[in-house]
Amino acid sequence: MIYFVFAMKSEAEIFINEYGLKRKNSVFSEYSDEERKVIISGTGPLNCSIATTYLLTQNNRGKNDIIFNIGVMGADDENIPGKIYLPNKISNSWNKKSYYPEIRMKNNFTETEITTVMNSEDSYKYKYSDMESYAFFKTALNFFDIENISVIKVKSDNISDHKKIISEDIRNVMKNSFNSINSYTESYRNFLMSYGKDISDIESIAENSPFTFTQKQILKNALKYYMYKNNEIPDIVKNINEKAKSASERKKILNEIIRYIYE
Amino acid sequence: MKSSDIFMNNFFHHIYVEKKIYEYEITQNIIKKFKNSGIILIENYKDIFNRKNQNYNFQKKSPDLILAFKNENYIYKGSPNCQNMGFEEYYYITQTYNCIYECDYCFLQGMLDSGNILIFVNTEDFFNSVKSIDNKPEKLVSVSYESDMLSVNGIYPLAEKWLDFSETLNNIKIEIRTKSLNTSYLKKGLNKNIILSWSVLPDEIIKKYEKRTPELSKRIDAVNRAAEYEYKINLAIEPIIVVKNFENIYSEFIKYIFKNIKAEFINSVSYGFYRIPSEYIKKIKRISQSELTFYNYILENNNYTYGRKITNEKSSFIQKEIEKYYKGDIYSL
Repeated sequence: MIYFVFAMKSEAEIFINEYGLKRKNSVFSEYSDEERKVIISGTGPLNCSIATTYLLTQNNRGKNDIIFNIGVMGADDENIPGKIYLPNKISNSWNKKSYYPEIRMKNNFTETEITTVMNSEDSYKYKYSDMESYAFFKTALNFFDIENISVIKVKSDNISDHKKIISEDIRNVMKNSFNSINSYTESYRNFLMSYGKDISDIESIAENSPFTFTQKQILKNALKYYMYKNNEIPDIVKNINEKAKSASERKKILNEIIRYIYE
Repeated sequence: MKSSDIFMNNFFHHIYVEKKIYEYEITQNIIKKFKNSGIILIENYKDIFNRKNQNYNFQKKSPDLILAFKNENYIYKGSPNCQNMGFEEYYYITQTYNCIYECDYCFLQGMLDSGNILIFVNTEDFFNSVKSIDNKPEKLVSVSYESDMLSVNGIYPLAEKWLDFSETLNNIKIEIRTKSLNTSYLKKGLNKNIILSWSVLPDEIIKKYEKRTPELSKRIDAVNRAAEYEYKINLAIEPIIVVKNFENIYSEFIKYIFKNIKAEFINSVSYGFYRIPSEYIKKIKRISQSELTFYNYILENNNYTYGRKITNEKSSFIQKEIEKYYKGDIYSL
């Protein structure tokens, strides 16, 4: 599953349309299909934090799930609006604390530091600023490992122009950057999935087995040993549910499995 | 190579630098070597290195570099799990954490939160801490215990610095543990207080469990180069991993070692079986993808091991095999 947190509908629209996501009945503005979930948080750190928490507590998260905060930011640099950035340091303007997202996959974006501000008037004080990413990162860290969390920002305007940004401008920069961002998010998911063997079958076999909690842990450990060694699940665990009817049978069967696997 | 590796950034794509040491000469020298790396200034290395929710093994695939200043705790007394080569007192220092190799059995994956490489640049403080214990009885200080200093010597030539410093010591031997082939730092005449400990294992084990490390024959070449400069050399056969055809693999391996290194070059041989402190195993199991982690170990004295029965039996086999070719000091753990 890929989770997306956007602050504004105008940032999310191109993603919702291109992915053909369906509106969900929710207290937030949410859209989803089988593989992606989008939530629109509203602007500002507090809204972002609440919406991210809501999104992640409503759904069962998998090990390879990832979450992105995508949106526009103000930038005081020479690049034109529409330029895409990956923040490698996210600070906040109120107590100067920072988070450092992991950027381990090759990409064509520009890395930068960014400061999250409480209100848009403060953005003029920083070269790169937004109103969500710090709160997003801090919140998502409660649910995910650091490599499963990413922030992507698109330059909406030159901060020094002091020009009011309208929704149409945002729609345009997001529309123009959609292909690049989509390519990155999809590759990133594949990248994380290709790292490591899929052990969901092991979890499932152990959880559905007739064993006690402790016996299940022993079985899982043994199956991981076998899987990492032989790249397959041993036949001996097939049909264990049918064989093990009583406590003594369960103990006997588990001992047989353990002996077979570690021999 | 896994498909994920192709998409990984190069090593040290990011260098995190504590603000207070950014202007240090050593820091600038290191930064200059990595022109394509992004430099990210940080307040404290712990903000990166000690943060939670990191995947040590994932980071090891393309580690970043962290440069920092250590404020305290420069030297530690070694635990009974450490190989002390017969010294009454054993210490270790941690000027660097982690290395470029990826060993499935590494205890650091259970001890540390981060797989990035951390170097403390205030070398003098580490020297002073060693100086402060330079008294009787004679001590062993390992300077490459939670890293492989030589494998990261290309980033900054710490080994040279320790070699020079070792000449000023009276009652301390400095041990540098390594799997590296890097011997260019060795200098004739700077060897009286240095023990070079080369980790060696059979190629079957190296290929399977020591990713990115040099093959055995190349390590032996490196040992021979060091021997030419008359360094004291310890061969560390560690961790011994019990595999199918154990006797055959390890007897051939030991024979090969002593056929290719003159026994008189070797100061001592140490060996020890795979063991992992119980406090680390839970964390390692969360991130490991190696069968080695999930073996049916036995808990003994707060360590997961092969158990006394297997260890005793295999240990006496290893001891006898070594004794066939080597009459000097042999230490086991």
